[in-house]
Amino acid sequence: MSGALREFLAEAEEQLERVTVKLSAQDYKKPDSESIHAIYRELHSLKGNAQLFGFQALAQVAHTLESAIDSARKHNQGLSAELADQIYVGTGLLERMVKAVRDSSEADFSKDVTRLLTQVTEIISRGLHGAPMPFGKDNIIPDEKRPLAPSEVKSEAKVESKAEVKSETVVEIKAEIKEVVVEAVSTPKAVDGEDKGKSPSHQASDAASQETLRVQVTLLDSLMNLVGELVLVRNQVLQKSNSQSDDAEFANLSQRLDVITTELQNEIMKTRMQPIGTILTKFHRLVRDLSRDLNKEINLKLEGTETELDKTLVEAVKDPLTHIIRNSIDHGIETKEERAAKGKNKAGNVAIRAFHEGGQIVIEISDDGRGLQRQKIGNKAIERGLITAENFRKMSDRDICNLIFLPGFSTAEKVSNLSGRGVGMDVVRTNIEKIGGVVDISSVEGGGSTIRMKIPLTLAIVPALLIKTDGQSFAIPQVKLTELVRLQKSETHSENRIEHLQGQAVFRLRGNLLPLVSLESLLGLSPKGPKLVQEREETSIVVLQADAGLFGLIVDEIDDSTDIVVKSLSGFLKNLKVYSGATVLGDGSVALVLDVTGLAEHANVFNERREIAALEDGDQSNKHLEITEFLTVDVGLEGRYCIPLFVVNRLEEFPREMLEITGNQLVVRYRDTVLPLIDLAETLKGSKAAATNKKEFCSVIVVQQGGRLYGIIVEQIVDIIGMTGAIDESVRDNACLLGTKIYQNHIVSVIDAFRVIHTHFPILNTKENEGQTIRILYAEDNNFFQRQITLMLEGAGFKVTPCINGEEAYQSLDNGKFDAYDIIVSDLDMPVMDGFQLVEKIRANKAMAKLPVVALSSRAKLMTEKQVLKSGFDCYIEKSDVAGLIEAVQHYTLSKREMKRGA
Amino acid sequence: MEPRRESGNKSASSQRQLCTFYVKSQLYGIDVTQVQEVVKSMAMSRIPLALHYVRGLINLRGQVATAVGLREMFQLEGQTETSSMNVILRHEGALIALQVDEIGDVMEVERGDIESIPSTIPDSIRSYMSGVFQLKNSLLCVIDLNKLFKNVSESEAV
Repeated sequence: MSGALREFLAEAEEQLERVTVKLSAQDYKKPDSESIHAIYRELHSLKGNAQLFGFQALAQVAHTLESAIDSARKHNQGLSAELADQIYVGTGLLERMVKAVRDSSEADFSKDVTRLLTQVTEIISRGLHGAPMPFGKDNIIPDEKRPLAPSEVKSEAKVESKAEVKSETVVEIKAEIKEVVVEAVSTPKAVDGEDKGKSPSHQASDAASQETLRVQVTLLDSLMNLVGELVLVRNQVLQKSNSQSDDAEFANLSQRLDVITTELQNEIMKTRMQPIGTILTKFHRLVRDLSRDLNKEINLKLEGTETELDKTLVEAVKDPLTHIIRNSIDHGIETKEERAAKGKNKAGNVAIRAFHEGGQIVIEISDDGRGLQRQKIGNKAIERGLITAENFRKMSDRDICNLIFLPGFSTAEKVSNLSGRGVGMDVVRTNIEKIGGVVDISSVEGGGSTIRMKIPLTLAIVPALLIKTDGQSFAIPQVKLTELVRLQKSETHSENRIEHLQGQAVFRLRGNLLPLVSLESLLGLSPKGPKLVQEREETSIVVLQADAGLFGLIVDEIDDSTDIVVKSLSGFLKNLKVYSGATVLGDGSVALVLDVTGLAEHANVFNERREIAALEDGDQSNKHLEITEFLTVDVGLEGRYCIPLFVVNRLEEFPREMLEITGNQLVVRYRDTVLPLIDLAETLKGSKAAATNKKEFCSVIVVQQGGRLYGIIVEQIVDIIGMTGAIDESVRDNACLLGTKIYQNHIVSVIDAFRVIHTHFPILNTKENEGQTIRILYAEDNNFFQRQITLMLEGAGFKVTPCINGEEAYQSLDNGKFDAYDIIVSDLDMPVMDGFQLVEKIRANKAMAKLPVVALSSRAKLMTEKQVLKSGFDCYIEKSDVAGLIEAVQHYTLSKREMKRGA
Repeated sequence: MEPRRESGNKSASSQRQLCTFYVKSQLYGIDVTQVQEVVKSMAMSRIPLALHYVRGLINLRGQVATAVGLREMFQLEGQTETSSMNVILRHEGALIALQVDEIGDVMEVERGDIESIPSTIPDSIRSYMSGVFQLKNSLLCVIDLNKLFKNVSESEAV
């Protein structure tokens, strides 16, 4: 593509953009003859350029539109709504055609062109004068040849110059564009229809004064990067100068460096700034189209369109804004009839307001529609399994409103083609968070909603708070920070101290319970965790805004706020969700930037809060809760059934004709072996089921027991669900059931897979090598896990002695019986004495220090494998990994068994 | 063993230059074209929760490099010492500092002389190697950086 052609395309895109902007202004203002002239001019020069480059179709469309406007222009009239629509359509078509040229695609527009031509011709032939005039005709329109008043030109030129920077985004890749196009601002442009063949750029080069110029975005980017680096150096110099207070001259120089750097940073940032209006004005068209499609009447009000923010951010907020506006119009604003019935004005209002606040940009989108219907949202969320009815009852109003941001949530009863696909708001939040912003919604039921987005001014340099924990500095982006709290130990008022609710630290922040996590324990810097809180003279809490709400982060020291340049982390660290990057600090050291959302996820702050809520209901003792996953299955019988997921080895589907019978046993060939199959419905009923289903495939849950695989046939595998709390054993009318659980208001029976197997295949006694049986001491506080895992280990031929916590385990070892066991398997999280304390005591005791200790814990816990191993465990196995546990036990007791054999 | 492709080297010479270093007194080599520089040990910031061989972040003249302890990565005994040298590489735009015990010479080897790694070498090391060269008085293991980084991106932090 030649340079000239590229230039033509860039200019065409700009011209079309200006046409769109001017057209949308037509929608709600009085007829503005100046705008009509401007549109005419743009189309005219576009036509000329297109002809020059031989794009006849383009030129034809532009010509059609131009002549359609011509009449209105000549007669100083506004555009009829009908005509304005066609011009919109035509502009859209032109945009697509230009894009096709840019992409070198061979798209065929001839149909669109013909349609447009017919329609425009029809309107014109009907006579523009006869068409209804939505805009007042009594406006006095100045002589069409009048040169523009300087003030008008000025404002127009401003829009143009901004638009230039913007459209360069598109041209970004075309690195060779070198020329500088100058727009003359002070020379009034002749508004002359006969000014054919002269494009604005030609006019411009004639002009003497040069006030704006085009620069490549890549150049701006690299300038910005350099300034970022300069800011870092400045920080380091300042630090140095502060530590060498005796050198006055150096101090003076560094002061000046500081001032100039700051100024330079601001100025460079300005070069990348664009008024948010460049995208907001485009929404006029969106709103217009949508309201017509939905037969609603909507006024869009824009405020603060001049608010500037970084080019990349302007682009980044465009899609989220589009989503929000679509949602407001589709779901928020009622139909005309509904509004009338409610006594509201027939026309709905949507307002977008952009303004600065505390060094950030706030964009508010508000409507006066029906607002969020809490109950409806709640029902939907429960139905989708996002929350439980119990949670819903306890949720704050704000939390309920924020449910709409959850993935997979959508309340639109009817999925329209506009919105309601349940991805919108979730995507909005992800996108805003990607640029380091936050979204929040507030809403009055029946009175409308306001969505508030808070985004940083720029991405390159981020204001951040530096904190210290365990002697190491971390940075927290200021945008996520809501406040800082410092507590003195001497404070005795409960409102001013940390309390513990079910073992979780909380703080009453102006009447709201704020969950607390200690950064130290979160990052595994100290396994002891929040216990230290009581020992501190002073506790510093950083209150942070995560998706699901506020939480407090306990840190050792709050340092200072500073500007940082965030550098991305290498692939080695990209799995660590708790960091969003790293930065070089004033003293030259590297600090990690904490990712607030990741931290909250990692700490499980909000899940635990829900668990606590669940716990209060069940009136449970202080059992440590763990979420257990269950596989829900359709057995083919009445009722709901599930199987603990961790006993499941694999899920398979076999074609029915593959099933064979040996003797009395149903089997299937499975990975070079024969897999015995058990019909679950039959086992539960205790009688032969009447001719099993006719499905072509049968679903089989493969379970390993005692080193053998067994298949359990179910009608259908439904889902995987997570449930907390103990299993209710009061109803166990069937030996093959462990008990019941409540999930989403339904009773679910939990199947004991091992018992199911045992009823068909009694355990084989493998006691032939009695002396070599591996003896396991197993500490676990959760009854359910204790029993299941004991069963599985016994099934694998081990001898298991279960106990309920570390204390009990240690006692059974300490009574001189430490060689009664070959290996210890311990849960990490237990009351009285946890796994870490247990292993610490074992390692400290010479007699038993050599005993292998295996840590067994559920997923998503705070510790990484590394920390677990560091605290003295020989290995770390997840509770769901039973095969791994058996392997580990065999591995760590190998030497022992061999010794015994030798002895 | 297929010889490793060298980017941008069109001289098609049969020689290849390796930047060598020692980890636990074993000699390793990396293609010289892939090494940006070698720097002395530098102050490091720890990265809590990172994989055990990711030892910290280094400020390399204003750029942040991730320090990777080869001892830890190869699952050798002992910790990388704080005085270890850093071999700086660039991978997918990010700087990586491989921490090694000692820097050796840049050695020239014949491409064709590369031999496959004996299968007795533990997998923890073998999976990162492209082959071995027999030197006069020692053996030189050639590290395949692509394998190394691929392995890393596939392993998951908790």
